[in-house]
Amino acid sequence: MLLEVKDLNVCWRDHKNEIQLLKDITFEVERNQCLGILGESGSGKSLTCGAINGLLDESFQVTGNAFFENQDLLTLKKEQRRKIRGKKIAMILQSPMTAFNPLFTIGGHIAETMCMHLQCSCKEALDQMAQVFQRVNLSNPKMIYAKYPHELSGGMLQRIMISIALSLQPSLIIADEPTTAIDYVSQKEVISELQMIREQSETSIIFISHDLSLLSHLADQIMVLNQGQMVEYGPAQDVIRSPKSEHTQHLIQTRRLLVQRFNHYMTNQHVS
Amino acid sequence: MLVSVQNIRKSFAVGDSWFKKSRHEVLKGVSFELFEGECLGLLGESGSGKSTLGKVILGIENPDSGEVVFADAISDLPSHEKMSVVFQDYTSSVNPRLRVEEIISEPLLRTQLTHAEKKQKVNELLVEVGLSESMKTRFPHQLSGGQLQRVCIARAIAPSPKFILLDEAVSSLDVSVQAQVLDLLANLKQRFGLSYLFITHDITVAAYLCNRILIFQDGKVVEQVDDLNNLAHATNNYAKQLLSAAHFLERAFTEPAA
Repeated sequence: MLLEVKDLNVCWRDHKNEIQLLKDITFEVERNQCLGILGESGSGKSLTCGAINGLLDESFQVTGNAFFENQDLLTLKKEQRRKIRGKKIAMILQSPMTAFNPLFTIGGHIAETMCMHLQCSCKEALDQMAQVFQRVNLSNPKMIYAKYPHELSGGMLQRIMISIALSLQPSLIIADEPTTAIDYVSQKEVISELQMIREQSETSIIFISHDLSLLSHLADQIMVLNQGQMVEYGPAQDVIRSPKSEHTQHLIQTRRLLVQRFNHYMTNQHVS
Repeated sequence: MLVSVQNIRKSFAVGDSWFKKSRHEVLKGVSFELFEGECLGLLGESGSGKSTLGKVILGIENPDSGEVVFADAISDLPSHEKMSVVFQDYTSSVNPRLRVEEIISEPLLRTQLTHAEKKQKVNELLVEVGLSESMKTRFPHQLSGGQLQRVCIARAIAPSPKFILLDEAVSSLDVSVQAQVLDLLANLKQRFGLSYLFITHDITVAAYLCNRILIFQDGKVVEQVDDLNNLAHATNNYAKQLLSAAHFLERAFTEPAA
């Protein structure tokens, strides 16, 4: 077992009121497995991962257990958590356009992350990165290092973010809606990259998305959240084929409705 | 023909050096026609210039060359009765200090309607977009994304325009709400005989609502699909890539559930 989350509760409080945002979230991620978290905006998908990774500030109260390689993440000291974050648990964020610092070149970002975790020189870091770039089909690393984030497309930046996450050889990658901000062509690239990671290495993935069709490509297990509660959790095929909860059925139904017409137009061609 | 866009070019200055000015061409000669009562989809990736084109049609930006010609029937109308717009970002496109009724009645300010008539109109519009009348005293932050986008749609149809520009109007909504809003738009189009220019990056959404689709890349229309049944026969390279990527990703839904 790589990650085991038990009864995760998150409350937000200020001096006046207290709101429960997540209620009794329980799930497991095995080694080399992919868990998909499905939910609409505001259902608590990102919050779950923020809580596990210790990214929430003091106004959030997190209770429960999250065992990662037999350590309870939620009781670890800040310094220890910081070492795990990035090295063991890497994150891929939602909008690549804003996740990078616009004042640094791509090379700068890479050197900063890798030098911090691997205690190597800048040059070593960039050389090592060139190999990772090859794995994700990014050519000409020298040219990319010299660019600033605004000079590259969203899909390109997202692939760079994936390579930075990969370079530290984490045991778990949390991908928080990695494809929402980019178009279909780049979406497909990102998905096939993540699929490749799963085939080539032992990395586990938590893939957060509101898009069921994306999850169906990657996930082994799917957990569906609705307003901070788990409404469905099981093997991906079962959840897609025969959803039990009403909310999941609703999500699948509306998504299918939307895609139906497009698929109809597309499959026409195969007949004619 | 309702609106005809003729060879629009638009460029922006890049670089802030005094000595070396260069211009980046965003629209490289775009021409198309929008017919009455149709929904034309403008499909392109981010940065392809589709929003700039939208602004040129609305008259917010001036083109470097080319022109936007309206049909005789509407060319004399004041611009807010000719066309209106629904933007992607619903929170920033309404004034947070106005109540829902004030937001919707804003485009009616210059009309001759009396106070009571305006109120009546706002009530009708709210029902039209599937909201209840009790919502009119609420502020934007008290509404969900889907509801607020409906308010924006109500505001857009308030002056009874002939044509509405939908700039990524459903892209920031949840999938389950997207279908509802698209159905609403299709409904309104029928009832009021509207024409839409639907700007989007999502081909499934475009296929859901539109009669015709233009695929836009790098400031040019690279593919025009007049009959969606021929969608799969696109010849342009980029269009093919886009279609196959979308088809690949949505594969899960091609076969019906067991």
